[in-house]
Amino acid sequence: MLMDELDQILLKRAVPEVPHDLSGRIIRQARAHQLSPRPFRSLFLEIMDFIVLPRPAYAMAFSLCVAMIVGFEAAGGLAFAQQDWSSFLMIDEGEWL
Amino acid sequence: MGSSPPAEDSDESLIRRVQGGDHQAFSTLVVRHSGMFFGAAYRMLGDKGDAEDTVQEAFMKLWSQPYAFDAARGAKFTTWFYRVVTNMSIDRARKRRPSAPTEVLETKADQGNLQDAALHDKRVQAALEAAIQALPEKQKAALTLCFYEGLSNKEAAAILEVNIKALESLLMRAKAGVRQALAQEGLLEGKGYAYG
Repeated sequence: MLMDELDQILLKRAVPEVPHDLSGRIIRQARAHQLSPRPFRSLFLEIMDFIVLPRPAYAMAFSLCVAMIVGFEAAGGLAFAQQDWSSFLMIDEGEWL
Repeated sequence: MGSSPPAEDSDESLIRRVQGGDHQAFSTLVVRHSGMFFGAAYRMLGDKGDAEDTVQEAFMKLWSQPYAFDAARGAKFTTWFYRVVTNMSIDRARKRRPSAPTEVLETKADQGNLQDAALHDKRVQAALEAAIQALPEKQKAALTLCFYEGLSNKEAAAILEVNIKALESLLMRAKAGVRQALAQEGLLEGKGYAYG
Protein backbone atom coordinates (compact mmCIF):
# COMPACT_ATOMS: atom_id res chain seq x y z
CA MET A 1 0.00 0.00 0.00
CA LEU A 2 1.58 3.19 -1.14
CA MET A 3 1.43 6.09 1.25
CA ASP A 4 -0.04 9.28 -0.04
CA GLU A 5 0.79 12.78 1.03
CA LEU A 6 -1.74 12.68 3.85
CA ASP A 7 -0.18 9.57 5.38
CA GLN A 8 3.22 11.23 5.31
CA ILE A 9 1.82 14.28 7.11
CA LEU A 10 0.05 12.08 9.65
CA LEU A 11 3.30 10.31 10.42
CA LYS A 12 4.95 13.61 11.28
CA ARG A 13 2.52 14.23 14.10
CA ALA A 14 4.41 15.17 17.23
CA VAL A 15 3.77 13.50 20.56
CA PRO A 16 5.31 14.84 23.78
CA GLU A 17 7.74 12.71 25.70
CA VAL A 18 6.34 10.48 28.35
CA PRO A 19 6.53 12.27 31.73
CA HIS A 20 9.45 10.71 33.53
CA ASP A 21 7.55 10.29 36.79
CA LEU A 22 4.29 8.95 35.35
CA SER A 23 4.94 5.29 36.13
CA GLY A 24 6.30 6.19 39.57
CA ARG A 25 3.17 8.16 40.43
CA ILE A 26 0.93 5.31 39.36
CA ILE A 27 2.90 2.77 41.38
CA ARG A 28 2.87 4.98 44.48
CA GLN A 29 -0.84 5.62 44.18
CA ALA A 30 -1.52 1.89 43.89
CA ARG A 31 0.62 1.21 46.94
CA ALA A 32 -1.27 3.85 48.91
CA HIS A 33 -4.50 2.23 47.84
CA GLN A 34 -3.15 -1.10 49.06
CA LEU A 35 -2.07 0.23 52.45
CA SER A 36 -5.51 1.53 53.31
CA PRO A 37 -7.74 -1.49 52.88
CA ARG A 38 -11.41 -1.39 53.62
CA PRO A 39 -12.33 -5.01 54.01
CA PHE A 40 -16.08 -4.70 53.93
CA ARG A 41 -16.09 -2.23 51.07
CA SER A 42 -13.58 -4.28 49.14
CA LEU A 43 -15.64 -7.42 49.70
CA PHE A 44 -18.63 -5.60 48.28
CA LEU A 45 -16.62 -4.51 45.28
CA GLU A 46 -15.33 -8.04 44.78
CA ILE A 47 -18.86 -9.35 44.68
CA MET A 48 -19.96 -6.59 42.32
CA ASP A 49 -17.03 -7.40 40.04
CA PHE A 50 -18.70 -10.71 39.27
CA ILE A 51 -21.86 -8.95 38.22
CA VAL A 52 -20.67 -7.57 34.94
CA LEU A 53 -23.37 -6.06 32.80
CA PRO A 54 -22.10 -5.45 29.28
CA ARG A 55 -24.41 -2.52 28.72
CA PRO A 56 -25.75 -1.47 32.10
CA ALA A 57 -28.23 1.12 30.82
CA TYR A 58 -29.81 -1.32 28.36
CA ALA A 59 -29.88 -4.07 30.98
CA MET A 60 -31.65 -1.83 33.48
CA ALA A 61 -34.15 -0.62 30.89
CA PHE A 62 -34.87 -4.20 29.85
CA SER A 63 -35.27 -5.28 33.48
CA LEU A 64 -37.67 -2.42 34.09
CA CYS A 65 -39.78 -3.39 31.09
CA VAL A 66 -39.86 -7.02 32.20
CA ALA A 67 -40.80 -5.99 35.73
CA MET A 68 -43.64 -3.82 34.43
CA ILE A 69 -44.94 -6.61 32.21
CA VAL A 70 -44.78 -9.11 35.06
CA GLY A 71 -46.46 -6.59 37.33
CA PHE A 72 -49.31 -6.07 34.93
CA GLU A 73 -49.70 -9.82 34.47
CA ALA A 74 -49.70 -10.38 38.21
CA ALA A 75 -52.27 -7.63 38.70
CA GLY A 76 -54.61 -9.60 36.47
CA GLY A 77 -54.33 -12.58 38.81
CA LEU A 78 -54.49 -10.57 42.00
CA ALA A 79 -58.21 -10.40 42.16
CA PHE A 80 -58.36 -14.15 41.70
CA ALA A 81 -55.86 -14.64 44.51
CA GLN A 82 -57.93 -12.37 46.75
CA GLN A 83 -60.98 -14.33 45.89
CA ASP A 84 -59.19 -17.56 46.78
CA TRP A 85 -58.03 -16.03 50.04
CA SER A 86 -61.58 -14.96 50.87
CA SER A 87 -62.89 -18.34 50.04
CA PHE A 88 -60.18 -19.85 52.20
CA LEU A 89 -61.26 -17.72 55.15
CA MET A 90 -64.85 -18.65 54.65
CA ILE A 91 -64.56 -22.36 54.18
CA ASP A 92 -67.85 -24.01 54.59
CA GLU A 93 -67.19 -27.18 56.45
CA GLY A 94 -70.74 -28.24 56.39
CA GLU A 95 -71.60 -30.79 59.03
CA TRP A 96 -68.02 -31.85 59.55
CA LEU A 97 -67.61 -30.05 62.85
CA MET B 1 1.45 -30.98 21.39
CA GLY B 2 -0.35 -28.35 23.39
CA SER B 3 0.22 -24.64 23.69
CA SER B 4 3.18 -23.69 25.82
CA PRO B 5 2.42 -21.96 29.12
CA PRO B 6 2.95 -18.21 29.11
CA ALA B 7 6.37 -16.98 30.07
CA GLU B 8 6.72 -15.90 33.67
CA ASP B 9 7.16 -12.28 32.72
CA SER B 10 4.45 -12.19 30.04
CA ASP B 11 1.67 -9.71 30.49
CA GLU B 12 -0.84 -12.47 31.08
CA SER B 13 1.30 -14.04 33.80
CA LEU B 14 1.80 -10.70 35.44
CA ILE B 15 -1.91 -9.92 35.41
CA ARG B 16 -2.63 -13.24 37.12
CA ARG B 17 -0.23 -12.22 39.85
CA VAL B 18 -1.87 -8.81 40.08
CA GLN B 19 -5.16 -10.59 40.59
CA GLY B 20 -3.51 -12.21 43.58
CA GLY B 21 -2.56 -8.81 44.96
CA ASP B 22 1.05 -8.81 43.77
CA HIS B 23 2.09 -5.17 43.70
CA GLN B 24 5.47 -5.95 42.15
CA ALA B 25 3.78 -7.54 39.15
CA PHE B 26 1.57 -4.48 38.85
CA SER B 27 4.63 -2.20 38.94
CA THR B 28 6.23 -4.22 36.15
CA LEU B 29 3.14 -3.79 33.99
CA VAL B 30 3.08 -0.06 34.66
CA VAL B 31 6.72 0.46 33.79
CA ARG B 32 6.38 -1.70 30.71
CA HIS B 33 3.25 -0.13 29.24
CA SER B 34 2.59 3.34 30.69
CA GLY B 35 4.59 5.06 27.96
CA MET B 36 2.82 3.30 25.14
CA PHE B 37 -0.64 4.03 26.52
CA PHE B 38 0.30 7.61 27.30
CA GLY B 39 1.03 8.10 23.60
CA ALA B 40 -2.29 6.56 22.62
CA ALA B 41 -4.21 8.66 25.14
CA TYR B 42 -2.43 11.82 24.04
CA ARG B 43 -3.27 11.17 20.41
CA MET B 44 -6.93 10.80 21.34
CA LEU B 45 -7.11 13.72 23.77
CA GLY B 46 -4.56 16.19 22.44
CA ASP B 47 -3.65 17.28 25.95
CA LYS B 48 -0.70 16.07 27.97
CA GLY B 49 -2.35 16.49 31.37
CA ASP B 50 -5.51 14.70 30.30
CA ALA B 51 -3.47 11.87 28.82
CA GLU B 52 -1.53 11.44 32.08
CA ASP B 53 -4.73 11.43 34.12
CA THR B 54 -6.35 8.92 31.79
CA VAL B 55 -3.44 6.50 31.94
CA GLN B 56 -3.24 6.84 35.70
CA GLU B 57 -6.96 6.23 36.07
CA ALA B 58 -6.80 3.21 33.78
CA PHE B 59 -3.99 1.59 35.73
CA MET B 60 -5.71 2.32 39.03
CA LYS B 61 -8.80 0.62 37.66
CA LEU B 62 -6.62 -2.36 36.80
CA TRP B 63 -5.22 -2.42 40.33
CA SER B 64 -8.54 -2.02 42.12
CA GLN B 65 -10.50 -4.33 39.79
CA PRO B 66 -7.96 -6.81 38.40
CA TYR B 67 -10.60 -9.43 37.67
CA ALA B 68 -12.13 -7.14 35.08
CA PHE B 69 -9.57 -8.75 32.77
CA ASP B 70 -10.46 -12.36 32.15
CA ALA B 71 -7.22 -14.09 31.22
CA ALA B 72 -9.05 -17.39 30.69
CA ARG B 73 -10.67 -16.03 27.53
CA GLY B 74 -7.28 -15.93 25.83
CA ALA B 75 -7.44 -12.22 25.10
CA LYS B 76 -4.25 -10.24 25.10
CA PHE B 77 -3.76 -7.90 28.01
CA THR B 78 -2.73 -5.01 25.75
CA THR B 79 -5.83 -5.36 23.60
CA TRP B 80 -8.02 -5.26 26.69
CA PHE B 81 -6.14 -2.32 28.17
CA TYR B 82 -6.37 -0.43 24.89
CA ARG B 83 -10.12 -0.75 25.24
CA VAL B 84 -10.01 0.63 28.78
CA VAL B 85 -7.81 3.57 27.79
CA THR B 86 -9.82 4.25 24.64
CA ASN B 87 -13.14 4.27 26.46
CA MET B 88 -11.77 6.50 29.21
CA SER B 89 -10.29 8.87 26.64
CA ILE B 90 -13.56 9.08 24.74
CA ASP B 91 -15.50 9.72 27.97
CA ARG B 92 -13.05 12.38 29.09
CA ALA B 93 -13.09 14.11 25.72
CA ARG B 94 -16.89 14.21 25.71
CA LYS B 95 -17.06 15.65 29.21
CA ARG B 96 -14.53 18.41 28.89
CA ARG B 97 -15.40 21.76 27.46
CA PRO B 98 -14.40 22.39 23.87
CA SER B 99 -10.88 23.78 23.83
CA ALA B 100 -9.91 26.90 22.03
CA PRO B 101 -9.03 26.29 18.41
CA THR B 102 -5.40 25.56 17.83
CA GLU B 103 -3.64 28.59 16.51
CA VAL B 104 -2.40 28.27 13.01
CA LEU B 105 0.60 30.36 12.20
CA GLU B 106 0.13 32.42 9.11
CA THR B 107 3.10 32.85 6.90
CA LYS B 108 3.88 36.41 6.13
CA ALA B 109 6.20 37.67 3.53
CA ASP B 110 8.06 39.77 6.08
CA GLN B 111 8.97 36.98 8.53
CA GLY B 112 12.51 38.06 8.17
CA ASN B 113 15.00 35.67 9.67
CA LEU B 114 12.54 32.84 10.38
CA GLN B 115 13.29 29.73 8.37
CA ASP B 116 10.44 28.98 6.05
CA ALA B 117 10.77 25.23 6.42
CA ALA B 118 10.59 25.31 10.21
CA LEU B 119 7.70 27.70 10.12
CA HIS B 120 5.91 25.54 7.61
CA ASP B 121 6.42 22.44 9.76
CA LYS B 122 5.08 24.23 12.79
CA ARG B 123 2.05 25.34 10.83
CA VAL B 124 1.44 21.84 9.54
CA GLN B 125 1.70 20.42 13.07
CA ALA B 126 -0.79 22.93 14.45
CA ALA B 127 -3.24 22.42 11.60
CA LEU B 128 -2.91 18.65 11.77
CA GLU B 129 -3.52 18.58 15.52
CA ALA B 130 -6.53 20.87 15.19
CA ALA B 131 -7.94 18.77 12.36
CA ILE B 132 -7.56 15.52 14.29
CA GLN B 133 -9.01 16.90 17.52
CA ALA B 134 -12.00 18.20 15.56
CA LEU B 135 -12.88 14.67 14.47
CA PRO B 136 -15.67 12.76 16.21
CA GLU B 137 -14.28 10.68 19.07
CA LYS B 138 -14.73 7.28 17.44
CA GLN B 139 -13.07 8.39 14.22
CA LYS B 140 -10.19 9.79 16.23
CA ALA B 141 -9.90 6.56 18.17
CA ALA B 142 -9.96 4.47 14.98
CA LEU B 143 -7.23 6.61 13.45
CA THR B 144 -5.13 6.39 16.60
CA LEU B 145 -5.45 2.64 17.03
CA CYS B 146 -4.92 1.64 13.39
CA PHE B 147 -2.55 4.26 12.08
CA TYR B 148 -0.46 5.23 15.10
CA GLU B 149 -0.64 2.23 17.41
CA GLY B 150 -0.27 -0.26 14.56
CA LEU B 151 -3.14 -2.49 15.59
CA SER B 152 -4.83 -4.68 13.03
CA ASN B 153 -8.31 -3.80 11.85
CA LYS B 154 -9.63 -6.83 13.71
CA GLU B 155 -8.06 -5.77 16.99
CA ALA B 156 -9.14 -2.15 16.62
CA ALA B 157 -12.68 -3.23 15.77
CA ALA B 158 -12.78 -5.39 18.90
CA ILE B 159 -11.52 -2.51 21.01
CA LEU B 160 -14.10 -0.10 19.64
CA GLU B 161 -16.80 -2.78 19.73
CA VAL B 162 -17.71 -2.37 16.09
CA ASN B 163 -17.45 -4.71 13.14
CA ILE B 164 -14.60 -4.44 10.67
CA LYS B 165 -16.71 -2.73 8.02
CA ALA B 166 -17.71 -0.06 10.51
CA LEU B 167 -14.10 0.39 11.53
CA GLU B 168 -12.99 0.83 7.93
CA SER B 169 -15.74 3.39 7.49
CA LEU B 170 -14.53 5.26 10.58
CA LEU B 171 -10.98 5.25 9.25
CA MET B 172 -12.03 6.46 5.84
CA ARG B 173 -14.12 9.28 7.27
CA ALA B 174 -11.37 10.27 9.68
CA LYS B 175 -8.82 10.57 6.91
CA ALA B 176 -11.29 12.40 4.69
CA GLY B 177 -11.97 14.87 7.49
CA VAL B 178 -8.29 15.53 8.11
CA ARG B 179 -7.56 15.79 4.40
CA GLN B 180 -10.35 18.32 3.94
CA ALA B 181 -9.19 20.42 6.89
CA LEU B 182 -5.59 20.48 5.67
CA ALA B 183 -6.65 21.27 2.13
CA GLN B 184 -8.63 24.24 3.42
CA GLU B 185 -5.44 25.50 5.06
CA GLY B 186 -3.63 25.06 1.80
CA LEU B 187 -1.33 22.45 3.31
CA LEU B 188 -2.38 19.55 1.16
CA GLU B 189 -2.55 19.47 -2.55
CA GLY B 190 -5.25 17.46 -4.23
CA LYS B 191 -7.02 14.54 -2.64
CA GLY B 192 -4.34 11.86 -2.96
CA TYR B 193 -5.15 8.56 -4.57
CA ALA B 194 -7.32 5.85 -3.16
CA TYR B 195 -5.74 2.70 -1.92
CA GLY B 196 -6.89 -0.44 -0.30
